[in-house]
Parts: sequence; structure tokens; C-alpha cells
Amino acid sequence: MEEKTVQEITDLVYSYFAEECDVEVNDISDSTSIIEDLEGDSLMLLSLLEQVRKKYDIKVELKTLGKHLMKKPSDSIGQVVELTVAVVKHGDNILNVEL
Amino acid sequence: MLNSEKDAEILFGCGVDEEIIERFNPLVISRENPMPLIFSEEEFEFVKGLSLSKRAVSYAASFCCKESLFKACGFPFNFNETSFFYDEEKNICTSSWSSDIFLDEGWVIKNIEHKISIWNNRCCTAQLCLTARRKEK
Repeated sequence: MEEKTVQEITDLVYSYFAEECDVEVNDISDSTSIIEDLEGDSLMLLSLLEQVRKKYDIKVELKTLGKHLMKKPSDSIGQVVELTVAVVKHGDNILNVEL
Repeated sequence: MLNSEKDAEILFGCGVDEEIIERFNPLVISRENPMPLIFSEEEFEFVKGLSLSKRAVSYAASFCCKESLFKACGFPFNFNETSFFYDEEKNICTSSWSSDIFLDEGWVIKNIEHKISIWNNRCCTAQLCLTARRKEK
């Protein structure tokens, strides 16, 4: 995946949580906890993944995402960026690749 | 008396969830299913047939039930393979699901019972109980 796309996804995740949680983008970092620091929740994460799925035209099932999240939880912004990049890169094959 | 172990139904789990209804407001004007990972096409068509003012609570109730079901079963499933249609007058959701959505995990759904509560038109809560039996070998 191109560096440009990774940066685009990173910017998307940061701006999404900044807007949803009513905080400045500059106040968010990779280590920011989505639940404890931003009071985010599963609906927020699912809405983000719906946006990403549409934007990049990805075929992925929620069950696959759920299984992946059980193996590799996404609690922080940095982890959500990693998850989103992996989803865009691998789609429904995400469970079969070592991340 | 049960004929065999495979017939045994158990209370598999219970789950609760709560959502703020206004968070679903951005979905109500969408001309296509706004969250296809979450809502089935049947749910989208159902909600589309409601007046604008009733759509957000319907999406909220459905999402609450699905999150509660996830908490009750404890393993991931495709939310869009279940449907919960909120009936405002009776304050319940009519549900439909494929009994084999948990087959991968070795279980068959027998029943889903739930209760919906709407608080001051602001907040939606679902309490749900799932009964299931083991998949036949």
C-alpha cells in the first residue's frame, strides 16, 4: 500500500474522532484511548468502518472484523489506524494475514 | 424429558445495551442503507417506510438489540443477518434471524426474547435473553 494512502487513512481516523468526540485533532495522538480519553464506543467505530468500506469499496463482513478485533483489540487511536489500514489492504482476508 | 443431549436448550446468555437516540439522526435521510454492515436491507426498507420523526428511534432500537445479542452470545456475527423491527405502539421489536448464524460456533439459536425501553424520547435500552442448543453432529 502506498505511503500516501496510509497517511490518508491516518488523517481520516484522526479527523473522524476529533469531530465525533468534539476535540481538537492536535489533542489526539496514537496512544489516545478511545473509550477512556474520548468516551467513544462501538457505534463510533462501526460508523468509521462503514465510511472506510464505502470510500475504498471494500468487501468485508462484520463477523470477520469482530473475529479480528478479538485477536487484536483496537483500544487506541493508533490501533484503530492499524486496523483501518489492514481492512483497506486485506478486506475480508484480514483473518488470514499475520499483522 | 429430553430425548438426547442435542435437543437440550439452554439459556445461552443475556445482554443489555443503551444508546442515545439522537446519534442515529444522521442516518434517517439516507436514500440507501446507511450502515449495511449493521442493518439488513429489510430493516432499511422498514425504516424508510416510517415518518422521519420515527426513524432514529427505530434504528436505535434495532442497534440496541444487536449489541445486546452480541453481549449475550459473546462471539462476533454479522449484524445484518438479523433484523429487529421496532413497533412504537407495542414498544417491542419484531425480530427475524437465521437460526444458523452461530453455526460456526457450534450453536443453533432457539429463541431471542427482549425488552425495549425508551427513556424521555432520548435514550433507548434493550435487555435480551438468548436461548440456544448445540449443533447436531
